[in-house]
Amino acid sequence: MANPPNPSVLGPYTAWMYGPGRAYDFFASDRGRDPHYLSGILERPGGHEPTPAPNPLSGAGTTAPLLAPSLWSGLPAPRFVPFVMAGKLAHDIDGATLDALWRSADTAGVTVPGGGGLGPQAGSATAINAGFPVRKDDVVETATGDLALSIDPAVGTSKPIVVIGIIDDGIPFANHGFDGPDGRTRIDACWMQGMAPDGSGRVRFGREVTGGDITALRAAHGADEDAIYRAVGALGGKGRAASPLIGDIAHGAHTLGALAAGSDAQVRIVAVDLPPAATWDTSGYGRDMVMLAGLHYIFDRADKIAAAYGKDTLPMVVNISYGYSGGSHDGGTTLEAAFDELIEARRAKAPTGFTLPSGNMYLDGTHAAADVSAGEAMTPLPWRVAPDDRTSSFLECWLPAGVAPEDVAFTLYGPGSTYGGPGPVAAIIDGLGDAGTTQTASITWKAQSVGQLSIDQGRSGRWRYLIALAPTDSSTAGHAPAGLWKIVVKNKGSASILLRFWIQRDISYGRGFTGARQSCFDEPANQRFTKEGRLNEDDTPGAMTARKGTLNGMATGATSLVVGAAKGWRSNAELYSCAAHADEAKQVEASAMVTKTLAEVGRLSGGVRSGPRVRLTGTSVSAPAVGAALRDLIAEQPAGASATNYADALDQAGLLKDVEPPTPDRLGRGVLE
Amino acid sequence: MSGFSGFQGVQGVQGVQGVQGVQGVQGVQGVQGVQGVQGVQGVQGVQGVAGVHPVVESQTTAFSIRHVAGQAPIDPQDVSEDERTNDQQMKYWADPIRGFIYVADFMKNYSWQTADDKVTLRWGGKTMLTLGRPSIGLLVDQLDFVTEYMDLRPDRGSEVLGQMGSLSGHYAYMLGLTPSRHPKTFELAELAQLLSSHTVAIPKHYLTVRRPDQLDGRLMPMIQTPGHGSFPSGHATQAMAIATVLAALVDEKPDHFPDAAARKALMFKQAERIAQNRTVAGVHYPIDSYAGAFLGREVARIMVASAKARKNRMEKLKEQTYTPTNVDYFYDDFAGMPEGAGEYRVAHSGPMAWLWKKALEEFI
Repeated sequence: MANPPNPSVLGPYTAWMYGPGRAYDFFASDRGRDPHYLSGILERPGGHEPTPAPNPLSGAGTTAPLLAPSLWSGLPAPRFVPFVMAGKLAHDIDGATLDALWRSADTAGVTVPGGGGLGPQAGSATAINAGFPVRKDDVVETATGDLALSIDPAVGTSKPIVVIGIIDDGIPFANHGFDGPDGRTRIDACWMQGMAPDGSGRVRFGREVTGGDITALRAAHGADEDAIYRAVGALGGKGRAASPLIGDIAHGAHTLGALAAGSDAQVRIVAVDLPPAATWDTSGYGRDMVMLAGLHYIFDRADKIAAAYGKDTLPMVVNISYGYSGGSHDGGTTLEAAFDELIEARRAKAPTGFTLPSGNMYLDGTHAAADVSAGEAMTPLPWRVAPDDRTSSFLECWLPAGVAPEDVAFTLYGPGSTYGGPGPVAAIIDGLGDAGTTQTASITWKAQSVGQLSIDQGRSGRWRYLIALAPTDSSTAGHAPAGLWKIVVKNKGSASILLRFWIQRDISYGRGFTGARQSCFDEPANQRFTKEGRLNEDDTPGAMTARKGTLNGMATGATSLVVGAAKGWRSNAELYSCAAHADEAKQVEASAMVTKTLAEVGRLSGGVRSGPRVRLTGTSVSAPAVGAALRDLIAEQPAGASATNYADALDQAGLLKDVEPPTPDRLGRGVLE
Repeated sequence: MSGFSGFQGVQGVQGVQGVQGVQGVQGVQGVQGVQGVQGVQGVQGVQGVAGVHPVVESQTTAFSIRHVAGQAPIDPQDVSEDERTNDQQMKYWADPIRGFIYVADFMKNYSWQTADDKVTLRWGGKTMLTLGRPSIGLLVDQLDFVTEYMDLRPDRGSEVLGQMGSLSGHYAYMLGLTPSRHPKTFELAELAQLLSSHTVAIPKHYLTVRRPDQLDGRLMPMIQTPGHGSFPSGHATQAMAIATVLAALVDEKPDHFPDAAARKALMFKQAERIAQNRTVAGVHYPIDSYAGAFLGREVARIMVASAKARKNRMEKLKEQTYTPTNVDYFYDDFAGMPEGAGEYRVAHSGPMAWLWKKALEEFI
């Protein structure tokens, strides 16, 4: 069947969201019904130079200023700049309009807080990585970027001050677990990205809660932490959903509890609480903008803390317990490259650790690798799509470096049987591929469009096919059939190629119930259980489905310290704890004990309110534990220690215990108790 | 985040839910007044030891041995009367009978006047609390809150089920109460719940407000929809009455607890949570909780005032008014609402004074 190419400068996820997928996911959600502004990350290979008067983005009948959040001054001409586009509502924009708008971005500049801007260099082509829209009434159109810090007299000069930064969802800033020994909070700044602004104008969207604010809120509301969260709008109402802080346990409460463990007043905390939009869609799509803005904020506030205590700069550890299962896994995604740019620049000034989880999808059957000989087609790869899935399903296929799409034919078949042949052809992209645009083809089932197959070139030069499949829930209009879809890629070139496939995470997470259901590869050759009946932690020779290669696709940048999760027996790795493919540069570097015995499942850390301790499993938990260990020794690290992202430093300090049998691909250099 | 973690251990609590689920099956909770009485009966556990009551078997014994008691008539001069000053005879009566007396004694002062858009509740003929009736538009607005609170059902499930009957146990652990040492304090708390149930039935009846799930089928409450009106919330009434009466008890013995303020804060927080849990469950709007809190606080204030009032001197309490608006329910907001300028008066109640004194004696 012939599918005409439909070139667009929108990325394939954005093309789906604003195009055929508009009836699902963000725009169909309860929380997506409020007015939202467009957002994204502008990338200019030559960097963004300071300019007195930035040009607005104009095109498609729209002129709108691009507003940057607080950017770290240590990177004066950043390549990557997050922005919110004020004045035009996402709901009023269709895919074609957005495409035309993004095409006009080459001349646009970004307004920075406090006035002035960052502008394009002549001839510098611009790419935009679209973010989830930002709620209109969260946006502060006139931001000043100023911050008044209250000095904590408990912070002395005898010991080094260390800043810890965290980006997560559900940061319980009023929790006394984050206090110093005298009861003053150690949180100097917390950016609540999804809260209503408070009029101070210090952050571009949401609101900032400073240490001084926390002291004042405690004075005003007494010991009732619920009253404090309600006062800043975190418990919902006024047309807003409640944040995770309404519950007893929250992801951010646990991760920050681990990273901030203890009550040392020399440990200063800067936190970023992500907006609800960042956690609804577990594929991770659309989250890059708020993440990058969050890291700029953390670095900026860390500099202000340093200045407040009379220092030029301070050592720091940042933890982000989030990830993608997809991505090029070569450090080349926009967010990984943007993180690397920031962290490398900061490491030039002060020791800066950056811990990320290795991922929890080791046994979920969401990765496959297929070696396809020249002139051959691969064995059909079976993709099991669950029924009653109320969100889109996404599957990425990446070609190896140097392989051109002209030499590849990608065919998707509709549901067929497990052992028999595939069902009818649903979409083909044969020999297409255009640098700089996304080409899409419709996925059809019984003459109806039920998805989008696309090809685009990733930032690192490798080509990606993306399947975006409509929900399978039968009450959704235009729903796709559930069942066993199959993928066949033919290698028309003259050398064999190693194809990599990743299915994006697709679960209901947190407080909003999205009705997401995870799809997986369901390949009979993959032995999921051992002869003893245990879950098989080894890959099966001859099967395409591979556990090795499931590493967090947001953690493969050069500067991240990738952390796995350990348990106290048998393989020593928690069953879910991911590993990289042997060919990949980025491997798991360290790990922390999460489940010591069968009776102690999960690592202890804090709940939302002061006092309770809860157990949580996952590499989300082990990453900040390693971050906390690094926090205590990073101040003494020489510049060269960052070459191994401080994994060697942790090991040389005796913190990473060897385990038997050795499990380096999943636990790195050893296990932190 | 997206699958990068899984909470453990919390699920263990759900095991308890299964047990408590049995309570839900009983279906007795609709007749909460009866349960309230049983709450008072619950104190019998202590006295039940002496409750052996042989009748028929002993009659043969009676006829066989009565001769040893002789033939003399009873001389009225020899009879010493049972105590009956200051309602001291309360100590003679069985628990459910005391319950009947408290209720009858309380209700003799309670009356009401209804209008299309409000009900005026009176005490001793004077206005005690005026409750405005919510419009359908306001109820629809409030559905947003009920929908949002659905997210908390996994967290609050065991509490919701555990709070379907007697509530005093949910406060007992804030005051270190135990039935052997504090039987009358339990009786006071149970009575606050019992009187609340009787009192709240009247505005529920006359205002006739539909439950949230009777407006929006998507709410699907986690417990059976109660068979009475939504506004005010009976749970909010009971929970606030218990917290208020126990807080007054704590105030009366300021030296008993070293941390009295903290304990009172916990009890009012608990009252907030019990009311909110009914919204989580999907059976109440936040405005129901406000109306219930207003009523429960007055029930408790009347209990305390009638216990403390001297026999010939009325205690004065402030007239209250609640007109619902579209906000979420929080105790702080309730406590900050203005009280009316008008007054109503509460006379001495012998049974209440007796119980109050007995409860106070449990806190030396």
